Amino acid sequence: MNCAQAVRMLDAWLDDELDAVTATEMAGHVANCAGCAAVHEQRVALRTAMRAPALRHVSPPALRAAIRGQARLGTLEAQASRPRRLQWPSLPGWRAIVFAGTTAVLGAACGWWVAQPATPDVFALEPVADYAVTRHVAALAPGGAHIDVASSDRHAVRPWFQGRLDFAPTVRDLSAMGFELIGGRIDRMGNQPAAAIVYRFRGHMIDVFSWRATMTAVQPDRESTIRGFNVQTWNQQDIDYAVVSDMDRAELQRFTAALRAP
Amino acid sequence: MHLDCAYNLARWITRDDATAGDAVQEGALQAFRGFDQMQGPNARAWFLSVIRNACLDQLRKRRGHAEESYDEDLHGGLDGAGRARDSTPEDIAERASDSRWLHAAIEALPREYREVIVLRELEELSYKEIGAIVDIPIGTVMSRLSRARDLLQQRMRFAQRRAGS
Repeated sequence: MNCAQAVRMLDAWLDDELDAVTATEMAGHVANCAGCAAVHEQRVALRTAMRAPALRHVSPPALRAAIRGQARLGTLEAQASRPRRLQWPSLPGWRAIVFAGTTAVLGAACGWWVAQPATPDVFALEPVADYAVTRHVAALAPGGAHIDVASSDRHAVRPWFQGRLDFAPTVRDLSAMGFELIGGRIDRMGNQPAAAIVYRFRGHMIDVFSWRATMTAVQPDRESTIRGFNVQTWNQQDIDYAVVSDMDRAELQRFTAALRAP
Repeated sequence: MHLDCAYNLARWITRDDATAGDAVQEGALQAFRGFDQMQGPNARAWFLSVIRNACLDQLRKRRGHAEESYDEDLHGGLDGAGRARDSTPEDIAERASDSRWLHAAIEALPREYREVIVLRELEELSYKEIGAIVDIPIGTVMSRLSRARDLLQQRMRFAQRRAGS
């Protein structure tokens, strides 16, 4: 490989877009050619500078909220437009009676259709808390909660999720407040992969589920009690959260507040 | 979903908060209608292509009655990054050491170069994905990226020289 070829392929090499053989040739050439190595070094310096977080534009919270509202409205519109499409023009005389009967049947059918969740379970607002309880109960095996990575060190738990999820779940050391970190596992919320971080408080297991928020529904800040379990859901940045435990409501509030503290 | 990527791309393409916000809202609405495509492995690339088109629409709409200020803005960006008309050596040194000069230098790039470099370096997308979003062949992605980097390096050398002198 000569310098002209090397310079032409330098960017593709830097971007990891070359086949293995050519990439090896490139590496060999750059190792032995001071000129090309200098050009490469500049490219690397530019890349390092460009990956500075300060260069990213962060979406304003107002825009985020507007889009979430828009998405929710979109769901309602889509549902509302379905029966409208099936409405019939009114007709005089006996035919109107026949149509009334038909419309009633159609209306009932549409009503049933609209009542069905339009999107998979995780997108609807209510079932999330319910689903979180189901996952929590499923993980509570007789011998103890199901754990993929068992550690009370948050610096061991959080990195474990690297490469397993496309976001880093929140893991906090709340042992000073009595909440002991047990570990974490990969779980799911509907069809979304989720992190479950497990804590324990006086024998009560606490599951903190987090998963990438979908654009169609955001978890409202909501507290609920389902089958004896207390659940708190919320959204922060692009991540939705659900905390489930059978401990006291007051304790769950204390835990959630500590977890969400900046 | 991918809202941060969308806004980042939109803001870099439009170079304006309000225009970027409108484009993302418009794009998200369109994306929502084509919801089925939003699933699957190429969801992010597909969504970003919708956002990019919404940006170009917004720019076209606004340029209709703001042609002059648009050009002025472009040249203003060049000055800020390159000629540094009213800066003291200390200012320039500071600028070279943080990312502000780079910010201005990217903003000053022609849009064709700006969008591919942002997709590659900030969103870390592959040539194939970038080609699909911008709707150009992979060879063009490669040549635009090279050109964008050459231009940015010129500015980088300039900033460093000014900072060093």
